[in-house]
Amino acid sequence: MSAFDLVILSSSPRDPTDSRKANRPKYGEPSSDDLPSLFEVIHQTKPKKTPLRSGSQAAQIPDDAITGFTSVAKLVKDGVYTLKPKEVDVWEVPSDTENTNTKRKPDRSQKRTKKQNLKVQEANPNGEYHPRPKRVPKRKSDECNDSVLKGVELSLGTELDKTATPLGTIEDHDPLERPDLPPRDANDNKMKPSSRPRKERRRKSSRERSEYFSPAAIQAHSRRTSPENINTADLSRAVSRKSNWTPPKHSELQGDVDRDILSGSVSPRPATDISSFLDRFAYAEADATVLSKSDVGGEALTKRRRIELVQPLNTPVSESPPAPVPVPIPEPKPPQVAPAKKKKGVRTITEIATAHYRLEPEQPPIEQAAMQSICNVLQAGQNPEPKPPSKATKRKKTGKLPKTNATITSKRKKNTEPKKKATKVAKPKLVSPKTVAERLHQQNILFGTASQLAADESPTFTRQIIQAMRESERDAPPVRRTSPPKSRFRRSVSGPSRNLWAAGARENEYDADMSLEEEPVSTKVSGFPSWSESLGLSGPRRGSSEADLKQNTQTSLPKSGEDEWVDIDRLMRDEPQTTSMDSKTDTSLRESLAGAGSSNIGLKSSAITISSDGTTPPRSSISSEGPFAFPSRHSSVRPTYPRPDAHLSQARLLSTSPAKKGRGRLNNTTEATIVNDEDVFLPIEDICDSEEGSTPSPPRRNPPPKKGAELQLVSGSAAGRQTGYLQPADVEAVGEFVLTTTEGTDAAFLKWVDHLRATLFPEITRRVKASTAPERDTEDDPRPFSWHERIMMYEPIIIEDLADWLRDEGLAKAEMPAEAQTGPYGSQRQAAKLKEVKLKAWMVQKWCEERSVCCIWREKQRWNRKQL
Amino acid sequence: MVGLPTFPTRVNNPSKQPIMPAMNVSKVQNPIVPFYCCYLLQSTMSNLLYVGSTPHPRRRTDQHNGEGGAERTKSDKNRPWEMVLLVTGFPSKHAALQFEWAWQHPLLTRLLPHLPTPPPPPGKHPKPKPRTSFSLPSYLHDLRLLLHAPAFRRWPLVVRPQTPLLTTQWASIARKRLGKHQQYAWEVFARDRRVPTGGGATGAGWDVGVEVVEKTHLVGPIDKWDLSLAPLAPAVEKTTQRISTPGTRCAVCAREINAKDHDAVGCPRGECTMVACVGCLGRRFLEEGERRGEGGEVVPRWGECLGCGEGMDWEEVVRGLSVRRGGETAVRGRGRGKKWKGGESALVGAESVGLVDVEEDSEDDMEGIQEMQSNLAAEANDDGFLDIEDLQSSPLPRTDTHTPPKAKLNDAMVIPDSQDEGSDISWM
Repeated sequence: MSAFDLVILSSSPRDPTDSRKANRPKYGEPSSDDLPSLFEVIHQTKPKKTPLRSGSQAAQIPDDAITGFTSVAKLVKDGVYTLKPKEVDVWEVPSDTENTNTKRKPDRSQKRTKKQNLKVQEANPNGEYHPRPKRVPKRKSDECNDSVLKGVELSLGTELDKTATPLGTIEDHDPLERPDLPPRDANDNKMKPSSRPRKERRRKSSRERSEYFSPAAIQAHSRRTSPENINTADLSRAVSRKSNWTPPKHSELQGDVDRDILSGSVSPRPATDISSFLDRFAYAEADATVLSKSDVGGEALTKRRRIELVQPLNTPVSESPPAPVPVPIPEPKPPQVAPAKKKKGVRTITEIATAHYRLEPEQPPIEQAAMQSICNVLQAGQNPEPKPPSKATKRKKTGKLPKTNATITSKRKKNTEPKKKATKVAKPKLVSPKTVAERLHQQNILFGTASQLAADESPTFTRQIIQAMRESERDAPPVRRTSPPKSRFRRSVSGPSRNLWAAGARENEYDADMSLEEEPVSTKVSGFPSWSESLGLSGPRRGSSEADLKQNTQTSLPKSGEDEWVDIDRLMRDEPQTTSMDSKTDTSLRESLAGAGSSNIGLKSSAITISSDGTTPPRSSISSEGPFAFPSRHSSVRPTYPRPDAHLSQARLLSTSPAKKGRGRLNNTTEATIVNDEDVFLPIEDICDSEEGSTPSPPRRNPPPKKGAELQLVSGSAAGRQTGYLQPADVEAVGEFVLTTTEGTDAAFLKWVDHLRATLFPEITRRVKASTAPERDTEDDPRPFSWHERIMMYEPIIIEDLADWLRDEGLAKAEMPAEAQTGPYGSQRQAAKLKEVKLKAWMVQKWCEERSVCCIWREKQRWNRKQL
Repeated sequence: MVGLPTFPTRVNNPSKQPIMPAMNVSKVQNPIVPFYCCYLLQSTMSNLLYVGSTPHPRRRTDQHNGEGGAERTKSDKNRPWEMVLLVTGFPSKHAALQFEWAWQHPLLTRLLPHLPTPPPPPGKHPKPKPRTSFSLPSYLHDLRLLLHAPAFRRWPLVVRPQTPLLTTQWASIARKRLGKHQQYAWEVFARDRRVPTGGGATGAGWDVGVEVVEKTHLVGPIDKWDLSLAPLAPAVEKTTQRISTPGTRCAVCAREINAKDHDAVGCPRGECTMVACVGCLGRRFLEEGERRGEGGEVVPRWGECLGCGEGMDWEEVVRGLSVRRGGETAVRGRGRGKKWKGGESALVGAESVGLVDVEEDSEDDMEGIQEMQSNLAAEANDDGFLDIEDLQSSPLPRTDTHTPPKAKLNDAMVIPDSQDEGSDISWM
C-alpha cells in the first residue's frame, strides 16, 4: 500500500496534551485524481445516511480541517451546502467507479441520519462531498483502511466524488445509498420493488480496495487537503462528530483544540503510519487513571457525559479534594454551573424549641472570617454576625420566641455554622462552682402537665394556676353532718374557694336537692347567727339556676396567701369595688339572697371569689360578720358544736378526697364545725362524721367477749362450740359435749370447769366412793367390783358407763350458772342463774382426769368425734 | 404350796407347783398388766429422741435397731438406738398409751392446761406445734410436768434413767420446785419406794432426796430385767394362802373373807398376814391420804399396813389381786403365733408368779386357750371394754417368722407391744 495520509475522523477523545496535536491525523491525499476530494464529498449534499460512530472507522481529520462549530447558514453562504434537494437516486450506482466489480451496499451501520448529514454539511460548508471510498482489503492494513474509509464515507454522509476524492471514488454505489430503501423514480416516488436483483452485500472488511483509496484519489485529496485548500467547513463534520462524543476529562481543552483546528490555527496533521496513527489515540496516563475509574464503574465514557459532582459547601476545606486550578475564563458569562443545592438542614421540633437555649460554640476569629466569606459567597447580601450566647438558655420552655428575621437567620446560621465546624468542637467553658450554684438557684423551672405547658400563656400565669390548684386541693376539714340526709339545709360551705373537689361534690349534691324542701336543723351554733334570721328568709331557696352554681363552683381559685374568710354581706356592699366579679354571679347571688334561704347560698358565698381573669378578690375586704361569715384559719375563736347525728351518709361524699389527704392538716387550719341550719352555715370542710351514732351495722354473729362476765356454760355440741355463743336452751338440745384439746385453753371453759370442779366433782367422788358392788351371777363367779374398786384396781373406765351409772344414782343434773344472754346490738343481758343441766359424759371425763382415773370413750363415740 | 388354789393347766408342770384355781375368767376384768413402760429412745449417732411405749423394752430396742416393726426409726443413719430413760409402772396399756401421747405432744394434750396452746400455723390444714423443743431437757421437763399432772400423778409411775447422764439430769430436774404448777406432794424420783416424810400441804409429804434403791427386778440393764410377775409371787402366794384359810376376816371391816370372792388383798411385806378387802383397805388408805392432805382422791397411792405397820404401795397390793383374779389367763401369755383379738385381757405370765410351769403348749391346751380367748373377747365386747387391739392403729405384722417364745414357767409371758407407736391416741 502506498503511503498516504489517512484522514480519520475519530470520534474518540483526543489527547489533551500537545502531543495530540502532533499526532493529529491529517487528511491524506486522495488515492487518485479521479476521486473527489474529501471536502467535496463533505460539502455535497447527500442523502441521509447514518454517520459512522465508531472511532476505528472514522476518518482522520485533516490538518487543515476546520474544527469548531459552524452554522448551516454559513455553510450555505459559502456554498458548501445547498438547500435544494439533490436528485440522486439511491440505487444509482456510479458507473465510473474503478476497481469495483461488485456493488456494494452501504452497511447499515454506516448509514447516516439526517442530523448526521446536516452535521457533515455544516462541517463542510464548501459543499464538497467526499464519498466514502470503497474498501479493497488486500492487507490487513488495507482492510483497516477500508474500514476506516467506509466509516468515513458513512460518517460524512456525502457522496464521495469518485474523481476527486483522495481516498478513491465510489464506483459501485453511493455509500450514502440505502439499499433497504425502496427505489424511487424520477419523481422521488417509491417504486415497487420489482424483481430487482439483490445486491450483494459485502462486509466491511472487504478485500476489495475502494477507489477512494486509489492513489489518484489520494493524490487528488492531498492536493485538496493542502493547507491552502483546506477549508474549515471540510472538517466541520468531523468536529461535530467529535463533539458529540463524551467529552474527555479536559473537555474545554479539547474543545479549544477543536476550535483551534477549525479556526485553522492548528492544522491537523495526518499520521503517516496507521499503527502510529492509532497509537496516537492512546490516552495519557493521567487520563488513563480517570478512564480506569470509569471503566471500573462500568460506564462507557464515550457515550456519557461525565457529571462532575460539585463539592458541597459544608465539607471542610481540608477534607475537600483538591480543587482544580481556577482557569481564568475570558468569557463574559461564566459557565452556569448549577450551584449544588444546599441540603436543607432537617430541623426537628426540639431544635426549634431549643434553638434559643443552645450555646453556640465559640469560633476562632480566623475561622469565623472564613466562614463569613463563604457565607457571603453563598448567601449574597447577608453578613450575619454570630450572636453571643443569649439568655435564652434560661428561658422557659413554654414560652415562644418572637419570630423575627434576625432570629431566623441567626437560627439558620446557627444551624449551618456548627455543621461547618463539625470537626472542630468548641471546648466547654468551665465555670466556677459558685457560678454553677448561682445558676442553679437562678433556674426557674416550671413543672406542669402537658396541657398546662402547652397553653399559650406566660409561664408566670401557668405557675400561678398550678399553685392555685394545689392550694385548692389542700386538705379541707371533713364535712360534718348535723342531721340525716334529708336535712340538707344543714350543710354549708366554708371555703369552696379552697376546695374544688368539695365544690364539685356540693354541686352535684345541691343539684339533686334543689327540688326538695326540708326543715332546717334546730341545732344552733354559737357565734354565728342564722343567716335566715338575719335576712328574714324562710323556706327553700328557689329561682336559682343550677348553671350559676356550677359556674360559681368551678372557676373559683384561691389566692395564695389569703386564708381569711369572706363575708358575703361585705361582698354585696362592695359590689362596685369588686369589679372583677362576674355580673352574672352578682345577679344570681342577689336572687338567691332575695329568695328562700338555703344552705346553698353559702356555696354561692364562696363562689363570690370568682374572677374573670382567675384572680380572687382580697378576702380581707370581706368581713367576718354576717350569716356568711366563716371562721378564718387563724381565728382564735373556735366554736364548739354538738356532734351531729351519725346517720349521715351523704356527708361522707363531701369529705371524700379533700379529707382523705393529710387529715393532719385539718387540725392546724380550720376546725370542723357543725352547721346550724337555722342560724349559720357551717363550713362544709369542717363538718365531720360523728363517732357516735354510727350507722346500723349488721348483726354480729358472735357477740364480743365481756370482761368480767360470769362463766358461761357452753353446751357440749360442737356447733355451739364453734359459734362461741350459746343460749341456755342449747345446752340441753345439743348432744354430749366433746372435749377437745382446744377447749382447755378457752378461758371461759376453764372457768366453767372450775365451777364444776367445785360443785359437781365432789358429788361424783362421793357417789363413786359410795358405790357398791353388783350382785354376782353365780356363786362361783368372783364378786364383781364396784366402780370404786375398779378405779382402785386401775381399770380403764368407760366414760359413758360411769355417766350412766351416775345418772342412775341420782346425779342426773348439775347446777351451773345460766349464760348471760347478750342480744343483738348489745341490748339487754340476762342475769346469771343456776340451771340444772343434764350430766354430761364430758363432765365425767373431766372428773376422771382430775382424779387420775384412766378413762376411755367407747369406740363409736371416739370415731364420731374424730369426724366432727 | 398350801392354801394356794390350783389351776388346771394344759402345760407340763415340771416343778409341779400348784396352780391357782381357775376362775371364771369371763368375769375377770381387765387385769393389771405385768409390765408396760414408756421409754425415751435416743440415737447414738445423732441427738434424735423418740418416745414410745412397750411391754418389752429389750425386744422393742431390737426392733428400733433393725429387726423390724419400728417405722419411725427404720432409717439406718440414726442407728443404733438406745433407751436412755423408762417410765414404768403403768397399770394398763391404755394408760401407757395415753401417757405416751401426752409426752409426745405436751402442747396439744389437754392434760397440761397450764401450758399455752400454740397457734396453728397458716395453711390449709394447720396443725399446731406438738412441742416447743425436741431436745433432751425439754423431754425431761415435759415428763416431769406430766408426772405431776392431775391425770397421771396418782399412777404408780417410776422414772428409771438408764445412763449416768440421764440420772444426773433427771435428778437436777426432779429436785426443782414446780412452782405454781405444783399441786401435789408427790415427787417422783428414780426409786422404787417412796417414803413419806410427813403430812403437809403442797410440796410436803415425801422425801425428795435420793434413797437407796432397793434391789428390784427393774434395776440394772434393761436386758436383765425381769418383766414377769415373779417378784410378786411370794406376796401372792402368802395372800392366797391367808385368804384360803377359813375364818379369815378383813382387817378393816372384819367381814369374813370368802376365797371365791377374789376381792381380798394382803400385805406384801414379809411375813405379815394381814388380809383385808380391797375396798376397805383402799378406803383406809384414802383416809390416811386425806389426813396427809390428799383430799378428794379416789385412787389410793400409799398406805400403812394394818398388820405390820409398814408402808406399802397400793400398786403392789392390787397387782397381786389382779394376778389372783386373772387365773390361768392372767398367768399364761398369749397364744403362740396367733393374733390377739378383741376382748382378751392382759395376761400375766404364770412363771412370774411361780405357779405355772409352762414349757410347751399342747394342742389341747391351745384349744382351751383359744376358747378362753374367744370368750374373753366376746365378754369384753359385751361389757364395752375396749380391746387392746382396737386401740392399735397399726397392728404389728404378725408373721410366722415372729414366734413368741414358748410358754415356760420360767419365762415371762409378755404382752404384745403397743403397735400404735407414735400415733395420735384419741382416747379422750
